[in-house]
Amino acid sequence: MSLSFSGGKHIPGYKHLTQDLPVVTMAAPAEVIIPLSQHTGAVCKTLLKKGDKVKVGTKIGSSDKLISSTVHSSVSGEIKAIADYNHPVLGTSIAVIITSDGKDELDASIKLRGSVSPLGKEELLKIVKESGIVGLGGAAFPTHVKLTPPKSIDTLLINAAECEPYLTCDYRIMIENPNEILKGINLLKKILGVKNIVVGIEDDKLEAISVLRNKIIAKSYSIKVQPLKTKYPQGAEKQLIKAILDREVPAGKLPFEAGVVVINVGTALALYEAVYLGKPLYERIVTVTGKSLRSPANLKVRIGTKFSDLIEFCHGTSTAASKVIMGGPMMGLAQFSTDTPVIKGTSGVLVLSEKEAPDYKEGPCIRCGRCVDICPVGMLPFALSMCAESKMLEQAAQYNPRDCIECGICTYICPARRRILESIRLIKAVAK
Amino acid sequence: MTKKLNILKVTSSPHIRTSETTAKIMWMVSLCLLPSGLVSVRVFGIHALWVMLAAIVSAALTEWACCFIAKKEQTLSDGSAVLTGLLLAYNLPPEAPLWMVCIGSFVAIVFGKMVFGGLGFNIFNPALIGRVFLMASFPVLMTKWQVPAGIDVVSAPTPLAVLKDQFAGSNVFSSADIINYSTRDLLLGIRGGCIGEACVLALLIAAAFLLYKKYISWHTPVGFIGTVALLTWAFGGKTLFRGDIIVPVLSGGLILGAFFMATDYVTGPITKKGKLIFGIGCGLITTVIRLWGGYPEGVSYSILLMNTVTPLIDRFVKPRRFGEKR
Amino acid sequence: MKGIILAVLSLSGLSFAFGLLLAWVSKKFYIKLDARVAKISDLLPGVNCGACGLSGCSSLAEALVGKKADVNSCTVCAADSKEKIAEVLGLSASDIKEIKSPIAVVACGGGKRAKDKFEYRGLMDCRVAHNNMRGHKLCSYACLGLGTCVEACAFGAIVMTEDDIPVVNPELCVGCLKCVEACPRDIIYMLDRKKKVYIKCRSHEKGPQVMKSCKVGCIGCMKCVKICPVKAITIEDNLAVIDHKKCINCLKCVEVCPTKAIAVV
Repeated sequence: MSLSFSGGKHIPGYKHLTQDLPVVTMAAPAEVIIPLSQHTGAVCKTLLKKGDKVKVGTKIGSSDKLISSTVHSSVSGEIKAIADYNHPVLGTSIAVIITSDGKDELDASIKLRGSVSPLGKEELLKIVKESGIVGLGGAAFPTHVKLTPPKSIDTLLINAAECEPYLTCDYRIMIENPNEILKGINLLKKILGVKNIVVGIEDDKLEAISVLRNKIIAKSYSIKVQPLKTKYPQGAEKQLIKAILDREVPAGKLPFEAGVVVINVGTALALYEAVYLGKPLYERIVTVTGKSLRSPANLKVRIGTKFSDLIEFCHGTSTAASKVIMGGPMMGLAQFSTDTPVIKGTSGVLVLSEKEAPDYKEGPCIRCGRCVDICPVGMLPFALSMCAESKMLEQAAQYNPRDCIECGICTYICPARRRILESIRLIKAVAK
Repeated sequence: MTKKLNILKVTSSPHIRTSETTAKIMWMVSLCLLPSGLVSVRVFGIHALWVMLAAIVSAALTEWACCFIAKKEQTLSDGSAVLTGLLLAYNLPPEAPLWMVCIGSFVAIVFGKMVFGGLGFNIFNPALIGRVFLMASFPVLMTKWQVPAGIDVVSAPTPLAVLKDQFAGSNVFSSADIINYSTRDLLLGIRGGCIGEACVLALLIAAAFLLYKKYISWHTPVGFIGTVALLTWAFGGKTLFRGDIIVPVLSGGLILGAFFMATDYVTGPITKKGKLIFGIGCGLITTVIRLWGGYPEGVSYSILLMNTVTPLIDRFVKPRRFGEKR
Repeated sequence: MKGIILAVLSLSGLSFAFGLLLAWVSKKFYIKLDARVAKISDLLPGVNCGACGLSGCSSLAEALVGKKADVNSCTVCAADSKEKIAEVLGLSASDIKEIKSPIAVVACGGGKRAKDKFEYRGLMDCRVAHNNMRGHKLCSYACLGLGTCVEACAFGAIVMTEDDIPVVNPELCVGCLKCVEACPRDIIYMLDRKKKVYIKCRSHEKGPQVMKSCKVGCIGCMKCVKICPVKAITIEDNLAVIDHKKCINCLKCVEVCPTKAIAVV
């Protein structure tokens, strides 16, 4: 039976655009821009300077802060500059710009590990940090921090829900690399020392469920694959925990307080590659999609590749792009330029035409209650939007704006096209 | 190949919206109501059609004029004025004079909606405001019912009025004994009554469609009709628990009111639990008016009275916060 | 007839009973209020600006009566109301001092002269716009020009000019800091009323970068530093900073600044 949480709604997925297309490896571009801030937490310090030679996987930035991660070069070549560059999340941020020499030589540190089983918890955690592994679902939270919860936990959840419309990168890797993912999950199991492991997958991805289940049976792993109801936001961490374990993590609390760690399925694969192959996180799978794109694809691209290169690789657009979004259409970030690099948290690049993303005209709230019925955290979104409209920002505090997980489903569903989520963001910003 | 990519639109997420809009909902509900009206035209004669048209046109004109005078953006296209006009017409007797219909529409739009600031801000259901205004101003015209008798128009009371009058003085046990309408007649609208309330079958089909499309939730109608049925069963007979349910439920504006007026988004509670409470409250007041009040019919007053309670319900019935202890 | 008497009797009985109930409730739950608090509350401006450091005018009134605040705490109220407040509190006129609050100044002259990074289409509030890719201006320090400070000001002291830049009217500003709190870019700061000169830029970017994004930004050219007779100006991290304690309002720096990034109040 498919499990779920209360609230939420099935929204058209448009996943058919890319879900049956195998991952294509895109050749390293002539130039990569690698921002030094690709993750939640402290910005990395550069270890190299302009003119230095780098190889694929050479460490170029690190930080001694706890909540931070390491950044690696994704091509071999020369550092052209270290300067401010467009950043898909921060607008502008300091980045290392590397010109490729086309040789694609691997750094000497990258080599297969002969034997993995002797590695202990601490060694594995060190590999996670040194390989720059962060949550690949989008938020890019440093994984080594997540894997050292301050409280003991009993369950590891693997988030493979992929509830965002359009995105198919997690689905593809589950079909193409199930063994590697399961090995990665076993590494996570070793690090966390948990027995109960559940992979949550939405029930429209039947093939992924059966592939993973067959592999688990073949290898007799003790991992459970749990089908989940296909509805948005099933992949939101707290909603996933609620659906699978029926535990609720209150607003402002982290999953470990409910005894759970949630790791994205893509992160499990990255962990496998880092530990078994010695490969730091310098490339990732990105779904490049959109109805106006001539040939949408799931691409394996180097971190730092420009969005424009990706779009060009997909033979451009048939109608002029009106919006380019990093991530999915529900929580993704609209970009002001395609001269923006792929970062570790880039799960997709979505191109929308003017027809698909028009300027919506806001109308008065008709109190239909759809946003209240659908809100996965039990808020009154309409009330917050009314408060923001009438500038009663302080009074809005009574409606618990901090509970909002910013999934955007209220705004999606609103028949009056009200900018509910933006209002909540405003209220949150004022109440800081 | 590279297009002008500098003119990308930057807005915050989400970037896609559902295809449903306020206007689509309003027009859809209006469309769903139409069959019942058409049956009424067939049953009551062509004048019913003129009443409907007059109500819709005058409501639309009033809304246009209000926006024009207030120098506000025209809101006619959202369909709410047309829906209000249609609902008002459905609440009028088929013989209503057209001038009265126009007054009703005017009052409904101006005092029911526009003075509050337009759609979304009104406290009371505008169509019911119009009806109640007409009831108070032109009681004789508003209660002149005709019975579908082929070509001849015969003035006759509605089933509920019959029920009330008979009930007061006689000692019959159930209403079925005194009403000479069969359940089939009631369902098909072969009886005296307002334009919209006549053909219950058409209304029920439309309601089923709206429920399926999730335009309305089951909570209000079930609470409303359920309460009326339960209370009339308990207290509607000569002795306790002997009351007839079929006639009171199928006659009067109960079906119309429960599915199409009490479910009005703007004037009803937001949460599902609130909607259930709202429905039960409506049912309670309706039954009280019907059994012990001065009017044979109480649906419109009950909805208006419950409209005043809506903010209170919304204040106390809130969804459970995620993560909050049960 | 009997019915009428019955109705009259029952209704008057009911009203009498409720009247008693009301009287009892108002006695029972009576909260003792110092009459002076209400009087002072009336005399205070009532805009709850918070310039006194308290949450609002009524809290200040309570604090004044409780001798926890000074009569001069309110920088907003007019001289004659202040005298009346002193009277209520039993203080003499000599206790009243004219306090000049500092005024807010906007440290950005960009507006239309500062280039856009992209066209912003979201909610017209700087606080939301700032969280969206750190704002739509090429300069990450620039005023976003959506008027959040104008809305925040309870005194109408801030107006948007045609250049899309807010300007503070010193006559109306009471120094309540509401605009400072509202501005997500931290470009509004307080300036002593006696001082005339301030730097109208907050950009720490290097000169060429500033010139690329804005015509009126501080490029760190050192001209003002050199000309200042009292050495009140220094360049810190590519941005001129005036030490207002040293400044003598000679306005020489204003004349010499090539980008007009130093302004007079």
